[in-house]
Amino acid sequence: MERPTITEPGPLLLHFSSGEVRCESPNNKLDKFAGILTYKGKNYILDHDKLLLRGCVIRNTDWCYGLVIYTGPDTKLMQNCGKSTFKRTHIDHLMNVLVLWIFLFLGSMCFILAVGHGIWENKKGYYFQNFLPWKEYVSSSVVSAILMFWSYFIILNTVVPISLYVSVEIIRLGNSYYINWDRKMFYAPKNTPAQARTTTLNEELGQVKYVFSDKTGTLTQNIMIFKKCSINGTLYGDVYDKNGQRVEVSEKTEKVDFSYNKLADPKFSFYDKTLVEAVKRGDGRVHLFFLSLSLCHTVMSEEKVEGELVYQAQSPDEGALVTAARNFGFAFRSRTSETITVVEMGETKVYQLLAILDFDNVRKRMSVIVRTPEDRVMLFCKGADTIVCQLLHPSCRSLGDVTMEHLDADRACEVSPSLLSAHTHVFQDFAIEGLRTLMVAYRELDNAFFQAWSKKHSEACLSLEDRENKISNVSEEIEKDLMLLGATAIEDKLQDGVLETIITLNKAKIKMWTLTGDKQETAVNIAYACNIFEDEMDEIFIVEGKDDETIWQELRSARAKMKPESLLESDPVNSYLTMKPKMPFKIPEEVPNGNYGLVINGYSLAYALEGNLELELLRTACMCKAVICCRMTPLQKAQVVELVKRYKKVVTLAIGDGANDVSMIKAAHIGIGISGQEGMQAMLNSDYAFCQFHYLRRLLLVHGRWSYNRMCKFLSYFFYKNFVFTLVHFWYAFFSGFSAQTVYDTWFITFYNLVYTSLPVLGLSLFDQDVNETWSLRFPELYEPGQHNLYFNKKEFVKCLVHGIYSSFVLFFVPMGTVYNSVRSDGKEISDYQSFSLIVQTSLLWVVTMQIALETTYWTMISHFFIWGSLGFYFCVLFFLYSDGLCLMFPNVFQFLGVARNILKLPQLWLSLVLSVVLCMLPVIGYQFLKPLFWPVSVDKVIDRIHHCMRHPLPPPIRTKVKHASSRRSAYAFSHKQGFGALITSGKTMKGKPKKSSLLKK
Amino acid sequence: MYYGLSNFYQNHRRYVKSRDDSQLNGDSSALLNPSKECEPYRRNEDKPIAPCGAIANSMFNDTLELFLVGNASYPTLIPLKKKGIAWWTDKNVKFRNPPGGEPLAERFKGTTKPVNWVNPVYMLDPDSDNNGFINEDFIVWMRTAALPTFRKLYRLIERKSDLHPTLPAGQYYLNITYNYPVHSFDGRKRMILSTISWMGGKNPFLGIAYIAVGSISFLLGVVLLVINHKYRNSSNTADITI
Repeated sequence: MERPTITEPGPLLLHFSSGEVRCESPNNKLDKFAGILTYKGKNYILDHDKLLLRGCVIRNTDWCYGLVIYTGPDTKLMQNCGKSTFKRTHIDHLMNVLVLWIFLFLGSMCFILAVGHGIWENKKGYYFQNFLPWKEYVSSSVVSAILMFWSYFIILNTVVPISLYVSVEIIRLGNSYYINWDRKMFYAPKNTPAQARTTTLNEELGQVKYVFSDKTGTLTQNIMIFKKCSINGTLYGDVYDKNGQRVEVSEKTEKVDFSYNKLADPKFSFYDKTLVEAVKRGDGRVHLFFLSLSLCHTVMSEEKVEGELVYQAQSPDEGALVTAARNFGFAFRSRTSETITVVEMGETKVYQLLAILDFDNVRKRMSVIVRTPEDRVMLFCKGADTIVCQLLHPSCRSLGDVTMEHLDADRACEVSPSLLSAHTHVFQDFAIEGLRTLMVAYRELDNAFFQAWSKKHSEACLSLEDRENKISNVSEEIEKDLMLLGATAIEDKLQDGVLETIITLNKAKIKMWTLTGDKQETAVNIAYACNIFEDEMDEIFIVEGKDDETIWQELRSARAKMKPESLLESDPVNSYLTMKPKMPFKIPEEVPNGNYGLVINGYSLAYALEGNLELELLRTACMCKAVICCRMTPLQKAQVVELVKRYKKVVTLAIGDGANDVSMIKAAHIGIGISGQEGMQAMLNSDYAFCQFHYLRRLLLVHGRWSYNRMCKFLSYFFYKNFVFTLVHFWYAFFSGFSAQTVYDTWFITFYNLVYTSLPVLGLSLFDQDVNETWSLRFPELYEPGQHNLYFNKKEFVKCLVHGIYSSFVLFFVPMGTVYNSVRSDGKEISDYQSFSLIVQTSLLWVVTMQIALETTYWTMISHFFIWGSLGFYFCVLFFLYSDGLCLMFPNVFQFLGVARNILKLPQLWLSLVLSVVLCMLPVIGYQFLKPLFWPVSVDKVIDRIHHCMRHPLPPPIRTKVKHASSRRSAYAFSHKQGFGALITSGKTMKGKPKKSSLLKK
Repeated sequence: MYYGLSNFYQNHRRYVKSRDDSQLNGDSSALLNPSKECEPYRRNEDKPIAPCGAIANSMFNDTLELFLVGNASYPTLIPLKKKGIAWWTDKNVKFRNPPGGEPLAERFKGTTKPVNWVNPVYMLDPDSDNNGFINEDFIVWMRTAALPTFRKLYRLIERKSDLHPTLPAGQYYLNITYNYPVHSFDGRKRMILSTISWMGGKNPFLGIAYIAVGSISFLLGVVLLVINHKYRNSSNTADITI
């Protein structure tokens, strides 16, 4: 539901029948709305500010009037969702192509045999009519040949693996259950297992090349934690043991006791006791620091039960800061449009709010001006370190340096080595830890000065033209000569294991793109924190142009640095593109000369996604190791995914948790929903769902890889098995007058795919693992073959075909040589058709069974049971089908009476069988042996290494510490948007009921 | 003693199908109403054919007699055993005459002989244990060959004692009563004498194949061993680190 909220509902009330709303037709623009409400002859303009999007929650509001504008699929959110398409894997498509190939192959075989039959009937059959007359409707050999074409079509149709589709579905279902059952992907706190919501995409999980990830809720928990602070040059927040060694904070670490403070938030935890001691000691600077935190913000508080404060903050960062101040004894209690009530160490004080100089992206700071109960006018300011530093009073220079050192340890070492020795510990760098920092400063204002300024300010506020610019100019006048108090560091808490997961995925050559609606600073900060961007990267390009030309320039120059030759005319991709092929084409992978990152803005992206820029964007972006797109609308996320999907022959995966990720989840080959706090939308539209980002590693590297390997093995084996089975008929045709005589007993034909060979291949494709999960995770390199689709492609299929032709050749001619003119030891001949069938079918079964035994790398009881059991079962069925009783009951159905008894005891059969098996296996074993030597794939080395490690177990790997950054970057990443400073000072929302204020939260 | 036919497609699909195993098994209803598979040798002059079908119809009916031309003026007939040439299962289980105590001719009443045959099925052999459907020549013929060139066991020449050779060296004389036409389809007839060992008759295929495959495997093994030694070192795995 989307409705315009009318902030002053009084006059309207509920008689709306006479009103009329005219608005734009449903569209997907989230930030635009235009409409006019006509009511009682008056026109009210409805704009974007008056629109609530579907899914929004109104806080702190008891009631409001609304009008539904769009419903159901017309809502802006649904318009942004993108189309649901039926997702199929690459292997599915390939399979369809191959089945088509097989049909052609079948047709050509039938054609050859039909022609052969025509010739045979002409040359021989015609004269053989004495013993075998033609059917009355056959007038000539041509007619016979035409009929024979269809006879062979029926006999040879087993090359078309109809049961393949069924088996594939079973395998996928099985592998989906593995995902559902995986205990290591079960999230105990929420009692939620991983969930494969579709069963058709499993093997594609083993081929992912691009991961598109949301940030908030996916990489991060969207929980802000007040981690550290630096007050007046002293660093608080680290915990040290008695020897002065820094201790990693863990669950066992003792928390600071806030019991002295009745208003403390029990969920807040802090570990450094020195800060509390400083507060209790009454350190003026520390008090001022927390006071400023409790004053300088736009948070609303709610106190439904006395003493239980609930803060409603527009950004979680602010909430964390105010909560921290509250716990340390400076609790922000309530506010009206003119006052802020703060409980200072148990003592309630009311500050008069004079002005809020609100936050915006250019200023990167906010200030409040208050009149204290002692009648001093104070300005409190917090903002980005880079900005605030320039505004400091010269007397704070040295303090500024120290604080900056806290923000950045490395520089501290360079500047003053003595400083390092003076402290017993090493500074922890806020920026490097991925903490979001803000500097806090204050200024005491002269009353007269403030009055003068206030006048200017209200003038600026009232001016009609260029208001924002004027306000910002006025603000700058007062925000200077600030006295530095310190800096805060807030941790945007990453989800568990994000860092390791991304490192592993990087090693597996999976490219990580972060698509977020957040601001650039926040996104980049998180990217560094979770290693998407590394400090070793050669360069990070930022595209933020506002028109085609600039963006084009930026993209080109980025590409010139990464791979200069890619701009030349002679570059294969360029020359290919200039040919302007009409067919959909794929851009090959291009390798840059280093590690690069790219940051692109939603605004620029809108241009870049249009027209001829999209190829530039794609080529540049795909050369980078990591890409961050910020300020994205949901639809843009989908567009980016579509772009990669369209021009790259790769598998894409999108992972997200919110409703704004739905379109991207739907667009990508594989969509993963994280069932987090942001509702079920993403999960319901996803193909796989789980609770933690780091399960992705397991999903891809273990389940995906296994599924892919199994599917590939299954397909090659399945095709092979059917080729061998069927092609024997082809060879036999040359000896049976092309008469469509089958080699095998009809029952064998019926049971072959259904009974004799179905279980082993299912066992293989459900249980096989070339290396176990530990190794899969330890050597992410093993993942690469899937990305290039090395294990099953058209080439592999042709290999199966050739292998099948060879095996069927052996399987026909070895038994033929064996039975030809040979007799038993009692003189009775064994060259009859039924004995021959039995020999061929038994050999065939042994060969395919040995083949599968050769392909099985992971032997379990089940695979032993399936493989050898199937073979044993074959002999049981054989004796049953050829038994006297059954054959006598239905002599015309079971014609092979006694054949098993008579033939299976022959040494010839077993000798011929062994020969067939050896001949069929030799080339395979030889090829498997030679392949890693002559045509090595990178994986072979890894597997070699693994085998080596298995034989000589190594000590567990020493965890190398994640290298820390070396470059200076600002850790400023306040997630605040332009806030409600204006709203608060206008006091509109607090009329009458100061406690209840309505906040529109998206 | 075998007879051999070549270019004779006993494995042609229509030929292989053209029989009624129920009838051959002595089923009385199938005797009078043979399966459709037997067409066009199902009925003749409104009477069901027994045994029906193209296979039975084309039964080999030459007679072969072997004489030893010794020093005596008239040759001695080598005794040929005509029983024991079919599989036991075929003779005793699969093929059965129609039930009943009467003479065979009575039991086959209401049927007619196959078109090409001279005598009806109940006159194949005077020995009642080798007559009708259980005639062993017939059974051997009905076990169709897998390949167009085949041999079928015709008679057994039994060794009388270990001291005397079964067929002593000397001149032999083969008397063929020529009934069976093969010229029309360019066929060939053969008569084969073969001595049986514990492994059956002479067929060098398996032996040769085993020797060939064995030597190939050995060679391959040596080659692979050499290659392994040469390449394993060069493609060592040192560049992969954990």
